[in-house]
This record gives sequence, structure tokens and C-alpha cells, in this order.
Amino acid sequence: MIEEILIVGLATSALYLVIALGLVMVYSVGRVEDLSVGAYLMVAAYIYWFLAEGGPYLSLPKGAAIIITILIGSAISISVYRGFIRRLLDNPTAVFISTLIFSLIVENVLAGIFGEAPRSVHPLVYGSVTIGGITITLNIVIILAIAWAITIILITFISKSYIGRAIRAVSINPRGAMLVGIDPEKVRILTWGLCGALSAVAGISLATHTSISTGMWILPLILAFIIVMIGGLGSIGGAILSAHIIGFVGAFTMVMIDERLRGVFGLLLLLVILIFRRRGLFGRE
Amino acid sequence: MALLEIKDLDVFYGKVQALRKVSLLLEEGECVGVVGPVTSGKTTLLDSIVNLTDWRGRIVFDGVDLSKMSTMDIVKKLKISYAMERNKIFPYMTVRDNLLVGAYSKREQVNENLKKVFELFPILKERQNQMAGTLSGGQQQMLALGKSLMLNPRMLLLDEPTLGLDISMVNKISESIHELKKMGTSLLIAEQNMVFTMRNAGRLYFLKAGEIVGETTAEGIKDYEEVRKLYFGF
Amino acid sequence: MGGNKPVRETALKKIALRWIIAFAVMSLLPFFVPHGWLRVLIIANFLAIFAMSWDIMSGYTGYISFGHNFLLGISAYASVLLIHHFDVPLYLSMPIGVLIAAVGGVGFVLPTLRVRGPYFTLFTLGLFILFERIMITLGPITGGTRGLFGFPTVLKGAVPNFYLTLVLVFAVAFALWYLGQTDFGRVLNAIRLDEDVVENSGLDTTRFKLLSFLMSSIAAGIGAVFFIHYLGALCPRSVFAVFLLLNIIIASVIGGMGTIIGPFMGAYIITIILEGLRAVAPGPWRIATYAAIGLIIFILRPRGIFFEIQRLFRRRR
Repeated sequence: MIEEILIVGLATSALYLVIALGLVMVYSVGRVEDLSVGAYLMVAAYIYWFLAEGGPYLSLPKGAAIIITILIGSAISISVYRGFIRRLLDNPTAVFISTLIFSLIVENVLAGIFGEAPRSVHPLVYGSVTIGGITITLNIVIILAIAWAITIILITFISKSYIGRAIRAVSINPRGAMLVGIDPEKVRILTWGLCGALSAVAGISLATHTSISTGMWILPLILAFIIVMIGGLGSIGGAILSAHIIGFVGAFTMVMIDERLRGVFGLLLLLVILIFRRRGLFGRE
Repeated sequence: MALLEIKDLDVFYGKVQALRKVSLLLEEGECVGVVGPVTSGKTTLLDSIVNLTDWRGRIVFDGVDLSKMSTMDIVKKLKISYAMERNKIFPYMTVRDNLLVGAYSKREQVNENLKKVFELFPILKERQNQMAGTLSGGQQQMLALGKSLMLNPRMLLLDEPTLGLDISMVNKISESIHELKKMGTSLLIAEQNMVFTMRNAGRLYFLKAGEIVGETTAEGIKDYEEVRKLYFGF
Repeated sequence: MGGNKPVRETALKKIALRWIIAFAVMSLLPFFVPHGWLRVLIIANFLAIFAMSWDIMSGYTGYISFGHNFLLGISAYASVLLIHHFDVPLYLSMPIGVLIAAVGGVGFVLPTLRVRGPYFTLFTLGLFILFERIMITLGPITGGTRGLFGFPTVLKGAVPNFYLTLVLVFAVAFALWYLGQTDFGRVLNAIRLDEDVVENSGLDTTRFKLLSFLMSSIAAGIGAVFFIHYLGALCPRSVFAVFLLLNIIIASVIGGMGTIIGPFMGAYIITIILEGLRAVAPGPWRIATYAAIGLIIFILRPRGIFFEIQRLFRRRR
């Protein structure tokens, strides 16, 4: 029981953390929430499935499929940013609404191309391991490892590289950033691209872990959104902590109470936290 | 030819004219002061040089017309650094990261420059891993100067470097300006603090309600009587 | 104000005349359009009620709610569950449903005392999803994902239902529009622009938000109970679908947020687009095309179609 909660909790937390990090980063440089992250994730899941398992003519090696998918994922998020988010940066409400409508478009375009029925995707790796008496698939272990590797690389990148510092500078003060020669627009494009890539990784992981369907964008989006809000907008440390709160609460509910109530306690937690701390746990007032 | 030449600069904020036919010259290696009361347009003048305002007229730096250049290119290609009065540092980044962000457009000799800044301001070395927002006002001003120096600027624009600082801090800032001049950096200082500017600048312009109302020669600046007359009008 | 009162009165008469003409024209529709289209228009009327009720909350105050389905859901479920489990008559269960929605609307005000912007939106979205999950989980009581059916409808037949919804939609439209024209509406607009300024000028913004949300939820509740007792079947998808939320929002934004008339028009426009696309683009492509049209209109004309029409008329004069 406890082992299962631990493994499921760790894996789902890590997965949602990856999506949440993308949201955190675009919020910090653009001061808007891009609700298309669920759509980026879903497109990536379908593209990966199509490239890797799309029939007799298209069965690329998994590694190639993953790389192409990530590239397409960033291309889509950058196009969305350049296409309309950029025009609406001074109106967060409009970004909210337009990115949600965009998700609806993506959902139905995918349904139009691939049909509405869910499809199963092969795991990245087959086999299972036994840890502490319970058996888990190797796929979950790989997903967990990838998610954490990405998180650590991203944090290092943000804190140690020139571009990472430029991202932080733009998030604090775009004008000040311009005065040291940083182009805030370029930084935003790059960050949106990163967000698309992160969502793509999450989409591939989710696809190989469960299956793909045209409704798969909603729950990850809401959970990532909740994680970002609880953690405090723009705080990476807060996102890591809140991803684990949400992940473990969800895993606990799933294993101990009822699978259908998976999101409920996370939501309740969010409502309570927002009532007591209106900027989340780590948000800057 | 002068390093910086500003001719007939007009700036409007909506219908309000913030600067009216401002002209100014700065030679290579010179330190020029622009003095005037609050709201006289000093900040607008500095903002215009790095193209943060929508200005009309002529601004030429080292033979390059600045009207079409982006702020980023002005910083990056012409090595003009601007220490703003407000938001001059990034408060949620460490002191060290602030300095390294300053080196964004010049990534060679970063270590040498860092060493130079730390020599000039030992306190910054001591506090390099502290969040910049927790520094005192004077230390933040030093950090802003240090951040500008990371670029090895040809010209440094300083907006109110002594605002809100006590006398020992002002002296410290004077010292560092002296060092900068020795390194051959050209400086344009916008200040209300008359005494400080007289001590540090080679020449002065007087700005009042958006217009240049007077200027001194290199000799004239040493004449306190004359400066007072130009500044206060009596 | 006293001096130009007569002017305002003639203006009011003109506006009242426009309302009457609009109502009259629309009430002639059953004589010209086939019955199949009437059912489409009935749904458009419900959508218009939902969109306008969303507008008086989110369009006016700027507190963007993604939880309108929550208000619709609690009132619909309340009415149906009362009938199903306690044999409460329709004429009692429906008002109770509206009352429940009103309570829910007041519930929306509580978070606004502390959170704004995206935090409020997420709060409302959270309530919506939370409630959907609970209704699905409480299968024995609510029928789970299959829902409940076989409960009474208010009227039968397309024509009577069309007139019923027409009266409803005009009553809601006029009430909310009138509210928006008063000082109350102006304060709500000011709250959207800068709540702190309104507060500092000595007005208790909470009272205004409370009234706005209350009006919104009552209108939503009325729409929802009539809607569910028109369908005669209730399942989570009929009130909790994200697609319904998006329809409400798209209708409001392409019509013009904060105008009431705009969302009314928007509801009809998107219904026409959706029906018109039925022949051209099958299945999901229809929804995708419709959403793309909505997105493009919103990006190019963020103030909405109603605003553009007004501007057109002003220019002609």
C-alpha cells in the first residue's frame, strides 16, 4: 500500500512538475498564463504515437520520434506565442480566454485526423522491476528519471547560464534587462519554446504510461495550473513542493479511497490554500 | 568630433513636452554633469539616449545615429551603460548574478572584470551570494555601478547616483567615479546634488523645465559663484 | 443631471422601442422557420441566458469565472434530485434550484475578498471540476455518468418551448442590461478597470461584487432549471461539459464582454456558425472550425461585435 502510494506519487508528481515548470517560466517572463500547455502536451503525445507507431511506413526508432516530437512541440508553442499571445500580453484575461479556445481547436483537429477513440501507446521500455516487495513497470521508473533529470538540468540552466540569468532578469524587470543588452522578446520566444518542449516530454511520458485521447489535455492542464498557483506564480521551488503535495494527495486518494476522486482532494487543498494564502505558498506579494 | 552629440532633442509624453530643443556635447573621456531640480527632465534625457523614449531630434554617438537603434543594440554594440535611478538592480537575484547579468553583452574577461569590481567595492565581494534586494541603498548603488562596469562601457549614464545616500557613501561613489575616469570611461551624470556634481564633472549643463538654461566651461565649473548664479539665477 | 432628464427619457423611449421591436420580430420566427430550426433557436436562447449571466459577473467586474458550469450544475442537480428522490413538484423544485444557484454565486464572492485575476479563475474552475467529480462519484444518488432521466418537463413541443425561452431570454436580457446601465453597472465597470481605486474612493466593492454575482447566479440558475426541464434528462455532460463553458465564453467575447446585448447576439452568432458548418465540416472539424472562427474574431476584434456595430452606426450619423 504505502510503497504503491510512494511510487505512484513520485512518478505523477514528477510528470506534472515538468508541465508546471513550463507554465512557471512563461508566466515569469510574460506575466500571462498560457492555458495551451495541455494542448501542446496532447499534440506531442499524438505526434509521438504517429511517428513511432503510425503504421507500416512510419515506425521511426523511439529516440528519433522523441526528438522530432520535442522539436515540433516547441515549434507549436512558439507559433502560438508569436501568433496571438504576443499581441495580448498587456491583457492577461484575453490570453487566458484565447489559449483556452485554442485548446478546443487542437482537441477537435486531432479528433478529426485521428478519430475520437483513445489509442494505446507502447511503453518506452518493456519489463518491470520489484522494489521493496511491489512490482512496478520499468516505464514508470524511466519517466521518473527523465522528469527529474529535466528538472535538475532546467534549474541548473536557470541559475548558472547567461540565458538562464537573462530569463530571470526579464522576469524581474524587462526594462532593466534591456539595459544590459537582453532582448526581452527573444527571451520570451525562447521560454515559450522551452515550455513547448517540456510539455512535449510530459505528453510522451503520459502517452507511454497510459494512452492517448483527445480529452487528455484537460486534467494535466488543471493540475499543472493548480501546482503553479499553490506554489506561487513564478516560483520554481514552490512548484516542486506543490507538485509533490498534489501528486501524493492524488496517489493517496487513488490507492486508499476511490480512483474517480483522484483530483478532488487536490482541488480542495487548492481552495483552502488560496483562501489562507492568496499568492500561494511561495508567491511574491 | 564629440563622442556624444545631442542636437535639438524634443520629447513629448502625450501632450506634455518633457524636453525642448536640448543640445549637449560630450567628448571622449570627459565627465559631464546635467544638473537641475526634480522633474526638470534629467531622467528623460538619459532615457532618450538609450532609446527608451519616443524622441525627435538628433543623437549621435561616435558617428552612429541612434534614432534607429534598439536599446539592446545601443548597449551591446556601442557599449553605453545606463544605471537607472529606479530599478537599477535585480532585487530577486544574488549580488554575483546581478554582476554576471551585467556581463550579458560582454562575456570575455568576465573574471577580470568581476575582480576589478570587487576591488573597487569590497563589500560586494563579501555579500556576493546575498539577494541584491537585501542590500542597503548605498550598497545597491555600488552594485548598480559595478553591474555597469561589467560591460566595460565606453560611456556610462548615471541617474541620481547620490540620491538618498549619506555623506560617507557619497564620498565612496565619488571615489569610484574617479577610478572610472582613470580607466578612460566617458560619464554623463544627471544630478540634483550640486556639490557632488561640481566635484566630479568637468563641465556642467543646467536643465530647467525641459530646457538647457545654461552651461559652464571647464574653468567655469570651479567658480562657485558663477555656478550658483546659473543654477539658482541669483 | 436634472437638466438633461427629458433627453434621457426620449432616449429611454427609443431604447424601449428597440427592445419591443426585437422581441416582436423574434416572436414571428415560428411562422417562418421549420420546426427543426426552432429547436436550434431554443438552445440558442438558453446559451444566451448563460452567456449574459456570465457577462454580468465576469464581463462587468473583470473577475473571469471558469466556473459557470458549477452554478448551472448545482441548480439543475438540485431541482432534479428533489423531484427524483423526494417527489417535490416542479413548481417548487425549480425555484429551489435557482435559490441554490444564488447561494453558490454568493460562494464565489468569498474568494474575491482575497484573490484576484488568475487565482479567482482557478478557484472557480476548481469548484466546477470538484463538483463534477462529486456528482459522478455519488452514483447511487445522482446516477453517476449516465445521469437521471424521466423527470417532468415544463412544456412539450417546439413552438411552446420556443416562446417560453424567448420570454425568458428577453426578461433576463432586459433585467441585466438595465442593471448594467445604472450607476451599479458603472461601478462594476470601474471595479474591472481598477478595484483599488474604487475601494479607495470609499465604495464597498464587496457589496457591488456580491450583488453582481448574485444577479449572475440567479440568471444562470433560472436558465439552468428551465434548460434541464426542457431536456428532460440530466447527466454530468449536459451541464458540466467544458465545451459548454467554452461556448458561454466564446459567445460573450465575440459578442462583446460587458455589454449584455453582445453576449445575447454572440449566442445567436455561434449557434448559426455551428449549424451552418454542419453541412460543410463533419464531426470534430465543425467544432474546430467554429472555435477557430471564434478565436480569430476575438483576436482581431477583442471588444466584440456589438461594439463594432455601435461604432458603425455612430459613424453613419
